[in-house]
Amino acid sequence: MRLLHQKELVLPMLPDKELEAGEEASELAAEASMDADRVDELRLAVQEAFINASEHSGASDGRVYVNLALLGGERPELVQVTVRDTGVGFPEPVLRGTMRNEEGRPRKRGWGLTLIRRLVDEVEIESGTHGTVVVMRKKI
Amino acid sequence: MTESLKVRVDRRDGLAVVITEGYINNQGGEQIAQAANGLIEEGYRTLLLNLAGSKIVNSIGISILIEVLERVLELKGKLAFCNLTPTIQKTFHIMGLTQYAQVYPDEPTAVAELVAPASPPSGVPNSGS
Repeated sequence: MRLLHQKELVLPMLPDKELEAGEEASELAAEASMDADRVDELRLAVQEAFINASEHSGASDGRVYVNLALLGGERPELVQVTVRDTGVGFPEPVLRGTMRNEEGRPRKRGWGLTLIRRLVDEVEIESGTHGTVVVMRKKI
Repeated sequence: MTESLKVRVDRRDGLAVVITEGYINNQGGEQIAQAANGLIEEGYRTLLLNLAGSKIVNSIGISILIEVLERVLELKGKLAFCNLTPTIQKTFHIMGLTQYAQVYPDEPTAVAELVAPASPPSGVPNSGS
């Protein structure tokens, strides 16, 4: 599979900026003829990754880096969205995406990564003191 | 790009419909919770959230809806949803809302199902009163 198209976004960690990242991803997926419901799922996954970066990374540069890529052969086959920050890494409960909180009660917050894992086909997460990279892939 | 949520309430016999338009994020979720809490204070125990005008949500907004659901259930009430996009319905399922809240395809179906089976709960004002 080769890279057919890509776009880089650098967005400030401001309220509702996740909508911009989600919209760009959904436009790319729709142009590549992804089914509309799957486009919506990708949009939400990208929003959640962006929100996690904004809320948990503590990145001093206050920015989220988004790479949108279309991969395939003769035709587009896959949309890959990479959301990266330069923060301190996600705390363990966020990374685990458990269904219950520390008291064992149903969790109300911290659903981002659970949703991402269920809304796209493949997810890779690398998180550490250098920052966090979330790579999401969804087939067309 | 910022979208604020608009919330409208339609009071009926034994049922209140909360109609939303826009992004259900942290702020939007709080607006819905505020409307729902007001209706609960008025005596309504059956609430229907019509999300026809809300095509985009996030997990924080939905988390606040879980808090509303918990309050309604504690009062032996009922919270239902209608007009969800497939992605929002899937998200509700992942986050566990559909275990405790009914989801209907549209408002007329929801109202017919929610109002028909039982007598109106006490303390709920009739429409036009």
